[in-house]
Amino acid sequence: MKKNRCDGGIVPWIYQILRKMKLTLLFLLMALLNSIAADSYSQSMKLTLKMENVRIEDLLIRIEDQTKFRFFYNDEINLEKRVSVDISDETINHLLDHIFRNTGIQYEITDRQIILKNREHSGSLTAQQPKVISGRVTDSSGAPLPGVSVIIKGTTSGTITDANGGYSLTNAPNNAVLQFSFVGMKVQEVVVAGKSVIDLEMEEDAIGIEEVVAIGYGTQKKVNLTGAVGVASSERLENRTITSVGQGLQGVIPGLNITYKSGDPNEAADFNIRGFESINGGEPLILVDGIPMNVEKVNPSDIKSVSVLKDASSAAIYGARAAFGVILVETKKGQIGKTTVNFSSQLTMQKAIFPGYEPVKEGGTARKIMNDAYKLTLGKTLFADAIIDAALAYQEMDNPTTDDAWLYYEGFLYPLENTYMKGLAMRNFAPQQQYDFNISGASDKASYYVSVGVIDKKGFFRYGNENYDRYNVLSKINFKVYDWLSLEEKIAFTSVANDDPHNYHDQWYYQAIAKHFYSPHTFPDLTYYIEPGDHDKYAHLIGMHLDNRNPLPYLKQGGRDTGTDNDIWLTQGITVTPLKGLSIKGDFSYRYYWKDAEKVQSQIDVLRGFNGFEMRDDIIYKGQSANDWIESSFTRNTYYVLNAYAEYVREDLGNHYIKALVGFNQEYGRNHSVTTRSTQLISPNIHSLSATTGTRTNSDSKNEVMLRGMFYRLNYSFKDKYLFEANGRYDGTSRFPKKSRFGFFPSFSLGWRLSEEPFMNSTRNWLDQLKVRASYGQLGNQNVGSYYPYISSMASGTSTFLLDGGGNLTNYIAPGELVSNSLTWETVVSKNIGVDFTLLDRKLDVNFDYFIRDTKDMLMEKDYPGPLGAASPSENAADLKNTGWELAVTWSDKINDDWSYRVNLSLSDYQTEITKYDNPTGMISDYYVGKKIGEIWGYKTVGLFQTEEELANAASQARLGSNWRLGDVHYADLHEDGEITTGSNTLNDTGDRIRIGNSTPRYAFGLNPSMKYKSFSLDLFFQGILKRDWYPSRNNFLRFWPFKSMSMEQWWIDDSWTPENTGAYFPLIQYAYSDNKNTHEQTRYLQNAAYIRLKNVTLSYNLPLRFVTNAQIYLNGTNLWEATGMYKTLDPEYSTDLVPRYMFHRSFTLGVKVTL
Amino acid sequence: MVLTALFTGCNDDSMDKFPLTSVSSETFWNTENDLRIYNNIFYDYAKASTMRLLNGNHEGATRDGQYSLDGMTDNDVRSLGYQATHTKIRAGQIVPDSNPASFGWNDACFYFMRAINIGLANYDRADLGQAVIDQYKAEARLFRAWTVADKVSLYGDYPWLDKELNIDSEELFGERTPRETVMANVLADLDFACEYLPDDWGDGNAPGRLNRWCALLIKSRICLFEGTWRKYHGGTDANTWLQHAANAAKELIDDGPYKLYSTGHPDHDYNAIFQKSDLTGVDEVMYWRRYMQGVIATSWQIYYYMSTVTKSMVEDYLCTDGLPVTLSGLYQGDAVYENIFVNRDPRLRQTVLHPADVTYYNYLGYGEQGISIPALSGVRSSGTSVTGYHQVKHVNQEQNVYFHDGFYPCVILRFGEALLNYAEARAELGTITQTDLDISINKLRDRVGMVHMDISNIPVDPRYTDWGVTPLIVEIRRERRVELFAEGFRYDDIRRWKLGEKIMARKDYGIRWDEANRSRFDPNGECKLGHEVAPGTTVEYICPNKGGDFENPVFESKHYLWPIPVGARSENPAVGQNPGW
Repeated sequence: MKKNRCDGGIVPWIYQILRKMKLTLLFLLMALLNSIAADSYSQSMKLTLKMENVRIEDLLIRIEDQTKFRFFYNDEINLEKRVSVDISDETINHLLDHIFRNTGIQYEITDRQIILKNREHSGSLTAQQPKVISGRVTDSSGAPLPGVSVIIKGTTSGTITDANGGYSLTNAPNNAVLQFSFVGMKVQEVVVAGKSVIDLEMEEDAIGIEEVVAIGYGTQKKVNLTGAVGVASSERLENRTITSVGQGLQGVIPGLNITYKSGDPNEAADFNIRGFESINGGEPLILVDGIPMNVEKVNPSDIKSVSVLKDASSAAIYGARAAFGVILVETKKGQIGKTTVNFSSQLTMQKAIFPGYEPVKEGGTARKIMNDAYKLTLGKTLFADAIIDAALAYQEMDNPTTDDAWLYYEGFLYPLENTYMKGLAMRNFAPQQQYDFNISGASDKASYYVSVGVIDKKGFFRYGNENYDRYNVLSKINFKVYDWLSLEEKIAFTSVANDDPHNYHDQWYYQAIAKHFYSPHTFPDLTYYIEPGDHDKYAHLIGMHLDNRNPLPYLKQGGRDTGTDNDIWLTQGITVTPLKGLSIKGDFSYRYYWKDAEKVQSQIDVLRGFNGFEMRDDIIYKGQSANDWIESSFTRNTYYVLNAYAEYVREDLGNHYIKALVGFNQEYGRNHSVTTRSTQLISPNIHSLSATTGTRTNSDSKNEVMLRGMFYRLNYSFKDKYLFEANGRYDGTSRFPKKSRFGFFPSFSLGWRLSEEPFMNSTRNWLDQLKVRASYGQLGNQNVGSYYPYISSMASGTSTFLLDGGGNLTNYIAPGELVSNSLTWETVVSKNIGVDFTLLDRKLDVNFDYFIRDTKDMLMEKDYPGPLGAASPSENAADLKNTGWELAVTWSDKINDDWSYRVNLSLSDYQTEITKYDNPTGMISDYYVGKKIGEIWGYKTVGLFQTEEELANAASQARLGSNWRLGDVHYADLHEDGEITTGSNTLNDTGDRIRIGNSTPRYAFGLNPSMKYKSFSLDLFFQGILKRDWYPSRNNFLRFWPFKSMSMEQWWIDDSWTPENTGAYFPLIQYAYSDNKNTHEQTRYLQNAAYIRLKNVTLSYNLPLRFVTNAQIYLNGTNLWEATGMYKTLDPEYSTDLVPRYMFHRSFTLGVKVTL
Repeated sequence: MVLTALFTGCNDDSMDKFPLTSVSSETFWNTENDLRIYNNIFYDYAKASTMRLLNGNHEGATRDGQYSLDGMTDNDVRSLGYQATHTKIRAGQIVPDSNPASFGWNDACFYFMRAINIGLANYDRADLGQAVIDQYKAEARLFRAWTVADKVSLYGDYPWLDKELNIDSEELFGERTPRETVMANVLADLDFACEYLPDDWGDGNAPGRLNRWCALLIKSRICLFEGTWRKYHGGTDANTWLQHAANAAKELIDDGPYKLYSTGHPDHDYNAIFQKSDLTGVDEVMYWRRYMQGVIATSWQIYYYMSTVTKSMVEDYLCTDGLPVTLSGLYQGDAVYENIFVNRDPRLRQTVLHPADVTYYNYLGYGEQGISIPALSGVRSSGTSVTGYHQVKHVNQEQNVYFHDGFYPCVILRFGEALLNYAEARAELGTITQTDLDISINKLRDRVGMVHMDISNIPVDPRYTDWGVTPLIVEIRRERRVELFAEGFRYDDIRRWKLGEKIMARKDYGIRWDEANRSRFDPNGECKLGHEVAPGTTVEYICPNKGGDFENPVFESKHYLWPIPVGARSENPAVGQNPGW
């Protein structure tokens, strides 16, 4: 079969619907279509054609271009003969009779399909005896495909393949065309032509030209898209160890940037489309089945597809919330046919990523280094010599006992070994389990999809561990009440339960790693402590914990922070189709979100001390838990979304195709939360507000927001080659004052399918399709942070300045903040050009987009001199220009029946520049015109001072710090004025600072090679950034600036300057907690934050089990490998200060998936 | 047309949403409670560590409370590396590239001004008697005067703001207001406050609101600063300011309800008010900061040991004959540690820990552990003194709790200061009499059993003859240093007296470190503290910063005023820079 001539044989929008609707509906529509159009088309369609000496095949192509007729024939038909035609206003029969005269070719017209056959086979053509046709449908790997729908084209008769991919059809006419369709596969048609056995191999349709993409309030065939839309199908989320969709989409769609700050399952992803949005922040609008849900809590296995609307043309229908793009997530639906039951399970072990962790083993050496550093900087030491000496002696011992490891000295019991809390407080692996179950199916009257998902994830603490449990329930049911009326019901419920150790001062996480290596943690069991025979006196302390810098006792017993987050969305939808081509849809969704949280800080007994246990009588005390309390909070948010829209399609206008959509949207949300705290628990074990005796405090918050919009879309195409689309929305928000509340946001786009032009005929054997696109549009941004940004209100608060004697906090009313009286919309103007092409029998698929996004009248807080006395009000004060491009490339090929492979590449880039900004003095710490976002200003580093001469001859660095020594940073005197300065920090006077780098991530990429061999498949996913600079903040003292803290690891000792180690990276070892002289932004410590990380590896195997449709086991690894230009202790993905509270992790998963 | 109509109809009142948990300025300002609850926010601003007004003690884990401020001077050497800000200021190492200290040039003061100015623009809207309204106006103006005067003391010229600004206000980009103009406005505020604040708000002084007496004390402090500043640094009307200082203090002394705290125990009455957990109703304490367990905590009581007294401070206490150690035959010298306390002003032993008092003060639990004083760095590893002198004025060991949970109160305004302000102002005016001394300094001396200061018999301490002031003024300044040690006055005093070069540019020393003391306190030679022969002696003394970053303190003429930080200058170049920076 020549595939390229055999598909696309029916009006395009049926294919859209095929992807969207259940087969019952399809049958209905087909029948409808048939009755209206079938017999009439070949009669009514009049052709005018004049061609000389053309090949019959080319003539047929021409006919297909001009009409909706589609020809079906196999290789046996010889169409090489040349003919001449010159007809005017004739029917197709007339023409075909003419050209096939004397060719031995016979034709048969069914609706718009024309089947060509050789005459010798045509004996039965006119005598159509119904017969039985059977066969087997497989996928490209040869595995049977159950659930494929097989229908006799033009009728409502059909069947579904069974578990072995088999089917059987009775009453199929000999001239019938069988249509095979299956989600994710290309629709294929086969002419029966007398055959009684028809086996078929379905082809995947990831990049197929028939692909239908979800867009705002509807769908569009991918080939007809004129805006910039990125798509990911469910397979990108399958067999991966992900708890949220963001993790699965990272790097998949070019231009969609997803970042996480930590590995905490509660940590929401930062979604960003096309880079820097506004100096005021901004984020894409994320809709799940058309409603603004928290996508991070949606079960990834319920997701069918994700569309990313990147430019104004695709997003304008969402108006004031779509300034920075829209992410549309569609969940799965029941498919017609036999009931499908899926069960999958994943067991995962996770290991925290902790680059360059190198505990120092020698306790004496470490203490001595610390002492020397103290002495150098502060002129005094931390430890007495006796402790240093004992520790040095201890580290030389061959077989030291526990008694040897401790020294009593001057009232304190000191450990002589180093303590590294990471090993004590954290375990190597954390388990995670995930279970998903779903059942779906459909009849011609109803369809259903019901799923349940469970995730149970544990944290990394050895004691009092974190527990994260999530339950997802999704139920979607559609009823067809009448042929013209159907109802859609959806219930989506998510519950997240967290049970974590109480968070005291955020200190555990930071200190649990490497800091304070010299502090003891647990009271030891020694022969004696101070003097022989006193063991019993202290025996009750054995096993108890030091309070200071020790998370262990607090993890074990210091109370829990628990909370349950419940989110339910109920949707009732209705679809009415009163006329052919017209459908009216309405849906109302209501959200009820509630969260209860309880935090308990319980009293525990800990031991007093610092560098050692303080051996005094009152050594046991309550430590940080002396002040105990319980806090209970309740949050209730409600939200509703009302959508009503009508779409009208006309495709019976010959070369013209028109689709129009108009609609209305209203949303309203109300948030309310109440928090109560009470101190002094009667018992640490009774966690009740009632069981307290101390002070009670209450607070609440309430707010409302309302949005309303009217929108339209108009599509027009001529000959399916010239595409035009207009979108727009008139949108209003309660966040703005009445006079500037509404805005109008239009967009336009054009597409030209070059490959459909006759002059491209010569390329047809290698170029499958080629399209160029351009769009222009305006969008608004209403999301300006506050709910009431134009209203200056006097908020109430409480002060810890106690005015009365009762211990009550002091209530006050604060002055209202400054608000701008001219607040209006931020406008985003987006321009996009793109090209899509598919080559070499669809082996290669390429999409490229170039965009310019101007964010104008940005609401922002200008930096005013201090005397303003208030936070700067938001003003429409600034513009920026964001330019960039995106490239998506897919290559897929099948080597033979056993081997096939595919490679996806996504690559994108952007840069942002401020084009308008009111910064009259040119302060470089603020924005200024011409500033590239992400600029890093700093000094040029000469090196570390190596000789006294160098130190003496260098320019004065007195303005950056004092007491410069050998091994300190030598900054370059770029101005050669004998002094290193910051100048006035303005563009005219930057002192000795220059732009040393830019923190904008450039060339973000995702690379996804996958291959299949028989029943095995291997999927790899690399993600990364090719160019980025990053400067470690001076607060980053655990993983980068070790001399700013009391932490110590081997890399610090090895890589710090000494007179012997002059090539070291870090300055000389000194204790400089608040001395920043060596940490100023500079070239030496600028980090190359480019990286590549192996995000995912999945090896799966399809088990050849007879009694189930499909059974798969797989091994998955996440974050298994990375390479980066950063210093070895830094992780490129969390370029934040300190250690994140919940680290990123590598994970190893065994998964099973069974489909019945 | 239809669409337009539809669109217009969209913008109906249902789209109007207003805040649900706050009020608007239009509907506020009605009752006295409105005014009071509004003014409450002033106390919140004034307590911030960005201000030096009602900051009180270390809050949580911060270490920059009022009792730590002497770490910027020759009184006190901070013993933890954390305290770098004060130590840097002490050593003259502040730089204009960053803000010199948290309470320096920052926006917090301007936020405070704005809140005050909004209040002043609206109080009159309340339907209340003028007398009631004026009380709240007076409270606001007192805070405005105090805040601005504090900034003027650090920066000289300073923006004076008397109305709420908006982003189009010219004042934003103007020059600083000249010092004399600002201070004239400050004085007007102070006068208003001293006239209209109530003597007693009837709120129990626990601590309650600032009353008229507090205003008088603050006025005397500010006017004394300004008067002496102008006298020694140049400026007009120095005497007018000194007269205001004297008058305000005198009114407080004569008419106020306060008196020195005294129970007839001269050995303990001086520091007793600093040992209490509740200062409600304590005669001398005019204003204080309350903490409460489980509500708002202070960490001072585990950090008091960081404050370590210097040799210079210890040697400034008079002998019991009223003569300085340089002149008195009663002085026993410092060769034997305990001898420094012999025949000395009893306030010394209530400021510096005597080894025999360890148990009395429950100092770090050392009594029960038998740990001897001094505890020196290196010899011990924590709870040490870096000078060898342990500060004991502000110790409250009845609160033996974790550092986040202490509730040690902070004395913010006390009557004793008024006596010193009065005596100094009168002395600087040249009008002081023995009667003046008797109602001021001699009251302080009576409490501790010291001999009176006799105007006809003022000793001439050879150490201070180069100050260029009369011996009487020298003695009044000494009295001030001794009485107000570690209450945050010394840094401002040195600057207004223009004695930075003479006092601040000298190293700090600790205890005598001769052979006898070494073998006594450090038999194993473990002490890590530096030591050297101190100027004017032939013996080695502990030199705590020796060999470290802060060994050689610098004080140049530019250090009298702080630099305007780079950030403020780039926002508004017109603010200029102080001389020398």
